[in-house]
Amino acid sequence: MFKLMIDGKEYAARPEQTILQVAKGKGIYIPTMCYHPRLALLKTCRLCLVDVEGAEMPMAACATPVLEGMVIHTHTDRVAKMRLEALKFLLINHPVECPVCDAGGECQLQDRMYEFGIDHNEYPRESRELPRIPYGTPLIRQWFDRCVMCLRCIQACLEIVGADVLEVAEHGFPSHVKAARIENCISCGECLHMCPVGALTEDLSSIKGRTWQLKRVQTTCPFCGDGCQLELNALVRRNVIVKVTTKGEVGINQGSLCVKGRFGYDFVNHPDRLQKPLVKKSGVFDEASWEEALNLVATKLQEIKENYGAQSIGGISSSRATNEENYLFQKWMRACIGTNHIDNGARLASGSSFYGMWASTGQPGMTHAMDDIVGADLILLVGADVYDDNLIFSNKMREAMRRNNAKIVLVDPRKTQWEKWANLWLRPFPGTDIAWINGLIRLLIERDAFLKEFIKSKTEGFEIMRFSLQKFSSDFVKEATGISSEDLEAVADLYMAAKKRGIVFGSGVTQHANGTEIVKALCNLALLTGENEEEGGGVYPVLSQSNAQGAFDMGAFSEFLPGHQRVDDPKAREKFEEAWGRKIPAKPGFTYGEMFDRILEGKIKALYIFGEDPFITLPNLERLKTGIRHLEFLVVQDQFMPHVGSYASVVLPGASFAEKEGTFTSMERRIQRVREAIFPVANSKPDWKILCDLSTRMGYPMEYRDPSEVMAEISSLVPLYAHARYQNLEKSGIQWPLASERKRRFFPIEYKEPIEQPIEEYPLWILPSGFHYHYGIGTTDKRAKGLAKVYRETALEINPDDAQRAGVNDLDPVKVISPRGEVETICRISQTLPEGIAYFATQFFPIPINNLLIPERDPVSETPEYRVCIGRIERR
Amino acid sequence: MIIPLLKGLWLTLRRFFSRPITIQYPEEKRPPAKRWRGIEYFEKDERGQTKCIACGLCMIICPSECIYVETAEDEEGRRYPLTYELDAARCIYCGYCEEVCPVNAIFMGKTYEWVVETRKSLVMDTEKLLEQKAYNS
Repeated sequence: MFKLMIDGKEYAARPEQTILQVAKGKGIYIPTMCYHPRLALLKTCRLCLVDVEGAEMPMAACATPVLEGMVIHTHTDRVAKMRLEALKFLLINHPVECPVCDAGGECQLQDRMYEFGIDHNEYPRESRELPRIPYGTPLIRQWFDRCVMCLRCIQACLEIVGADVLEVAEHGFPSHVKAARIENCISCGECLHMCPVGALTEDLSSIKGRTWQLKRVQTTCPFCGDGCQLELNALVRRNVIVKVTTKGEVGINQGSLCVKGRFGYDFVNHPDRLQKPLVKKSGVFDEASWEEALNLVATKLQEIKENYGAQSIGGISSSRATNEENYLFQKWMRACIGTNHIDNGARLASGSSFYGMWASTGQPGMTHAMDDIVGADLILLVGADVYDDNLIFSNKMREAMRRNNAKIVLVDPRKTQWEKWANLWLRPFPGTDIAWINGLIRLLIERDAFLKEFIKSKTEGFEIMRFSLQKFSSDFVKEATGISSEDLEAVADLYMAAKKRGIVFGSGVTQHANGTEIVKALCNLALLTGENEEEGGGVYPVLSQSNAQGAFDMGAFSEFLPGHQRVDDPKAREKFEEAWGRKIPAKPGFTYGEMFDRILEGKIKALYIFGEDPFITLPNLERLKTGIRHLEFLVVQDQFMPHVGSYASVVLPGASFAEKEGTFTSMERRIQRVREAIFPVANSKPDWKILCDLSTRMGYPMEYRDPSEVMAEISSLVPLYAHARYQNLEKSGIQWPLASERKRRFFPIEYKEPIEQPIEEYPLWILPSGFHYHYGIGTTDKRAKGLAKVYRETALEINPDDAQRAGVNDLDPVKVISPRGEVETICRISQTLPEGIAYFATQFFPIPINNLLIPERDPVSETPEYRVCIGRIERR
Repeated sequence: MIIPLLKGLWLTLRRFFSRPITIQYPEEKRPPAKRWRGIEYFEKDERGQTKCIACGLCMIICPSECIYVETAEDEEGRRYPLTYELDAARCIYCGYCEEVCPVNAIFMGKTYEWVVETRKSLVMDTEKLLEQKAYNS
């Protein structure tokens, strides 16, 4: 520790600190503008000058490291004068037009002007005539004449996101920030967030609220499992959201967002939102009052329960709804109706990761916090396009690269953005992951690279697993996956050289018909060196839905009560029966997919679908359509009319995330608040309220005044959520604890060949997947104007050789045909794919790609095979 | 005793032949004082629309909180008030809005006649404020 004097007082400082960091920590004010704690030093503004005794000229506080015995004066006449001059120079490039500037009220330059007492441009401005060149994204408007060239935008784009779009064009006075590589831009808005003035403004909402006029509500982003914190800016009188901002210090995202979070907000006020409850009368929907609709649902469900028994009613909850709503939904289903036929979309997207992680590590969730990946020095990225789907997590991984030079091993058949930063890129054939994972484990065991002490004391099943690996020689791996033995050796070398290895996997692993097995295999790899333990690098399943973790935790699953307590465990059931005052059936219910099988058999007579659209998410649309006609009663509760909605008897309009209170649980198990920014639009109601009303009408009163009371009940029943009462969640939310006394388990994982292999008739692997501007099945983001502006067309990407063979050119309209069906789309030729593999960048809707999929499900998690099927393309 | 009476009558008689000072309101209107602050009006720009850029400074400075502005941007990036509401019944005619306006769009006018049947008609919007300009040129 150094000792130094600032303004006549003595302070202690660590040697790696700069003067500015010390001063900030001690609450001493030094004006800054280009400085940002997350960025490298830019040193462009010259506002943070301080006098250091012994130095001839003032020093920039942001860039000067502290020294023992330094004597610093922050407010001498000399520096005050120099700062003032520096500010006047900045103003040469900046018109004082604060009244028409978006940043007015939260502009750092404006604040400094106020502080230094300047109210006009002192030096004459030379107006610069620049032709209006397009910025990287149409969602952001660039004002050249307002730019003070602090370069924060360029640095942020390069450093935090890694998109590398911006650069400085020209030299001297005409220099300006230019979007030089527009094709790289992913519209994340990092530059917008970083701009200290109004040189970059949002160009989306035509309504521009002034800072002081908007109601700012901090909430959790509804678009992926990262759980970013953002502020909704609402114009109260119009009941609309006009923009999204972030506070730098709050949440996992530290101010960053992706395009969905920052520009995808306006679906909330979309005219397509369901306005009123709809009741089908003689085949046509008729608007009804809430009273009428709810009564109808309640009586009809009662009737079916009396006629066919409670087991003939099923319910599908939503992994996009809050924890409270999922809890209420399953409570209503189990206690009031008396059925365990409850499921939700989290099973389809990430079920395998819950089941697999649980079996192996003892916890159905990420083993570490997302921030811990920064500490890893090797990251194994398997089947997850984090750059496109979970940008904030991708930013964290980039931080790991910057901070401790982390090595990256990418395993993906397709070339993703991370290939650019990866040290090694493995390209296994689709669906053959188990082979290379087992091969790698075998190699590591052969080289003696495993923690014997840990395996002996804390795990079981190692020997059986080891025995099962015998056949996975490098030759076998090469045969099965196409990964050469040199590559596998290289991974093993990197793996052994590293100390903390983070294992990241996503839907490319979980959405397979053997997803659970692949997850277990990855966990075997992690357990080998104790990566799942606190001191290890961590296992990170990446979730794509905002509350997949929460929906699982809250027991909106067929076989689990809240808190992962099995419904066939009498002790767990007893506890809930006592709390709820009703009997709960002991047998686990039908899963999502099963429910639709049973509809065809006539075992399910009534279905309640809340915030899901099985017509888009489940394979084999035609079969679903036939099935749904067998239903006597179908209720749909959603924000927008889903495709299944046209078959419904009653449609109830629910509220979006911006219109209700609640909590989401992010993929790092963090329970965070969702807050109400505007009133429910039109005549919609918060979903928890609808569920309460229905239950009360069906003779099982649920009289919660607000979701905080629901959470109080949850925290009393679910040990993991014991501390999750709202008063504890106000600041940054809390993570539910990982404390499993159980031994970690190794599992012998059998390799099975993919269900389908390309044959002559269907020579291509088709990998369906979402892409950056989309989330989930697209009910919300399809309607966001901002995302529509930058929306890439659904297309099939294909290798040039394959295209030639099929006789198609770039952007040709094509038919994609699989053994089960065909869909129409366009074709894009891309170098990012190896021969024989086509990548279907789609969001399922409006192209019913579920018609192509293999109707096979994981035997444990019941996650369908979404990620691979065979097919061919034809010109149409 | 008779003298004061005659003095009074003399004054009365004199007034008969001088010019009257009463103003026959409402037929005849008294011009307001130079610094009179009456109902506000909007200045027009070269396109004949309001000069207001909806910066919201008047809204924030108004001590009686009688102004409400919603800002919008047209295709050319120009700002205009999507909603401008000035509740004249609440206005205390302090003139702060005129003083704070950075583009000289709003001015205190001279109109002082303000008798209406409903409170609602006392809420001025952009059109009404532009109309007021006619009485203030």
